[in-house]
Amino acid sequence: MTFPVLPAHELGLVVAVVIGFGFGFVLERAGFGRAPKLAAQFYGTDMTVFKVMFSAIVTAMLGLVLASTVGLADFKAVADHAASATFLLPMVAGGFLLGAGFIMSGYCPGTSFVAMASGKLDGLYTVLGVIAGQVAWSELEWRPGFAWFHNAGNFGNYYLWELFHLPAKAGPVIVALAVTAMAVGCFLGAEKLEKVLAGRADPVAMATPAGRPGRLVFAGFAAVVLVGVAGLALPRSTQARIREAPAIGQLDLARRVFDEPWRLRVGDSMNEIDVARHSLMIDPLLHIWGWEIPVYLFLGGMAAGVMILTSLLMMRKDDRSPAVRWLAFAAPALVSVGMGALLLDLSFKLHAWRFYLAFRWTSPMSWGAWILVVVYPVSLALALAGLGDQQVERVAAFMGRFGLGAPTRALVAFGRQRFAGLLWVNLGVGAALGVYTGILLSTLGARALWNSAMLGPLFLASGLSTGAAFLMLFRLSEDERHFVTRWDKLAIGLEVAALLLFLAGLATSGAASKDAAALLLVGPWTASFWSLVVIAGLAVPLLLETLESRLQLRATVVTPLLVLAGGFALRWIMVAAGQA
Amino acid sequence: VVPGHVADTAPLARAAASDHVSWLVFEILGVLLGGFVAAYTSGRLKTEVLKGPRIGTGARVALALSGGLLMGIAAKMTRGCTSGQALSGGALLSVGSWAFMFSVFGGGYALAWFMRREWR
Repeated sequence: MTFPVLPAHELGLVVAVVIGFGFGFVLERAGFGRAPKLAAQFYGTDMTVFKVMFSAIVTAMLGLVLASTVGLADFKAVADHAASATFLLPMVAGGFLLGAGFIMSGYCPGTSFVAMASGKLDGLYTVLGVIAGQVAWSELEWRPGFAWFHNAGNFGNYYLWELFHLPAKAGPVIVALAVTAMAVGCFLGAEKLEKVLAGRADPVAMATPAGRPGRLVFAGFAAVVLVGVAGLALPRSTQARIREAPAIGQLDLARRVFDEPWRLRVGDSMNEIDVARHSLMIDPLLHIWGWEIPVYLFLGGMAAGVMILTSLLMMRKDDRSPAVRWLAFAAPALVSVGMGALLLDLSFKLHAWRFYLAFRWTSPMSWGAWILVVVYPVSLALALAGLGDQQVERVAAFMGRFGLGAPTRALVAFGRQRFAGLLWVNLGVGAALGVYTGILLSTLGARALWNSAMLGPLFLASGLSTGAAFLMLFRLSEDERHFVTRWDKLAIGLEVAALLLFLAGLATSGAASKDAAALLLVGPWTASFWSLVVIAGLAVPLLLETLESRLQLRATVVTPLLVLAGGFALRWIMVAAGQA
Repeated sequence: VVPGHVADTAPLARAAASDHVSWLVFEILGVLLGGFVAAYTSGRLKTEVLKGPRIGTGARVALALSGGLLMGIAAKMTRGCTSGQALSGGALLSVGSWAFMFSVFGGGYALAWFMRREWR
């Protein structure tokens, strides 16, 4: 196997996103994203948080104790890994401070993020405060006069069974049982308190909003905490393993390339020589494309999506919302902005026109230059022809100021005459533009990551999806929004399929391609690729769009924004990782 | 734990971005997504300020900000917040975590009476 050593740390980060998702979801559904419910703990009217906290602690604790008694885990070893050392003085003082902050803001630091995510402005301000407070204390804690306090009462890793002088073996079990008994007592006490205070219950305190309160939420919460504790141990142990891998000298590496290529690791090749030509001696300029190219590819893809979708929308029926009519102009506008970015990237800007002097039909750059030229007349003619009469008058009057009134009207007349044909031409040019944004990369076969025929379809699907997302940002009619959303779901599905084929294709080809696939699968780009592109940019929007129609929810602007961010991240990562 | 380390990613914090920190940044990304999906699908997604009936929006926001500030300082002091220190550490029977947990409730209950106008 030439597959490189697995840097599980990067995978751990993807796991972090998934665990975080579960954590945030459960917290919100339990009502912990709402300050009045959290604050109610301190008035005894609603002790849910208190109960959930103890359930979670007891579940995780008993699970670990049980696992360590049967020999599956070592309680002390896990605890030494995951729990922080005891600094008694700052912990007690900080505890009081945190309690005070809790009742003032109504959140604890973790739940304030959930509140922020669900649109609660008080949560947002709490988050800002938390960040500011941490930065402030980070600035102070090491200064003389603060440092002694910050580190006062250091007991190292100090556990309850040691505090009570219990034997190390049986200690955790005894304390765990005692804590369980105490928790049950507290539980009953809390319920009693709730009942006593129920008479003068808070009118604004709300019941747990999830339909089934109690058990399910508790179980979910406890499970998340348990997985979280396990996850805490994950990145550290694997990090240690990676460090153990010895560095390799140039000569040894060269010898290994010839004698035992199957023992190559991705880390070696990135440092010195590389079978994928990532070598200073072969391709002297490795990182030649900055932010301009991803921006250009992103906007170009989005314009392609807009062209395809406006064609499709216009094919449906005649009465369209004003937004859709005007949005047909977005495609040439987006292409123009993207070309501006591209122009910034060209070293010899004044030579750009030479692209058009010679047409080399084997060169996608040449193709692309001409596709871009065709985009303008086609999309403008269609957009003008798609306007209503009054709108045409407004445009013609505006253009008339520049002496272009008559040509505009002529273009409208031409467009209306050939409307049906123009729709299909626009669709085709849009698809060509979308494919071209991917092909542009894949012609540079020297970059192993881009050496795949799937890049064209992948970027086309992504362009269609981002184009749909762009349209969704505007005020479409209900019916049009459904139509665009359906297309976006289809585009996301196609994009996932193209991604799978792309990665599978690379991973089953030669060693260079495998290394390239490894960049995204188990390499330095894994975490950002999977969390930003796959989870945040594809899976979550698809989930939201599906639930939106299923549960008949009001459309939210967050879904298209996630799609757009994911589409941009895809291009950014592909361009950057390809040059890594 | 969660925000206890976010500050470390700020360029002014001297701590180099450790593995643990990047883990938390990614976890927060997940928390935001999860919280959003949960709120959206249950129809609770709304831009609003949550507060008791007897307090103005400005005062509530000011209290939220200053409460956050206190918690930020506190979470750095205690090397973790309610989730990381009390929940994880508590389950692992760390003395510091339990001392912290009782202090949190102590601090909360001590101030609750003075803050009752904010919530009730």
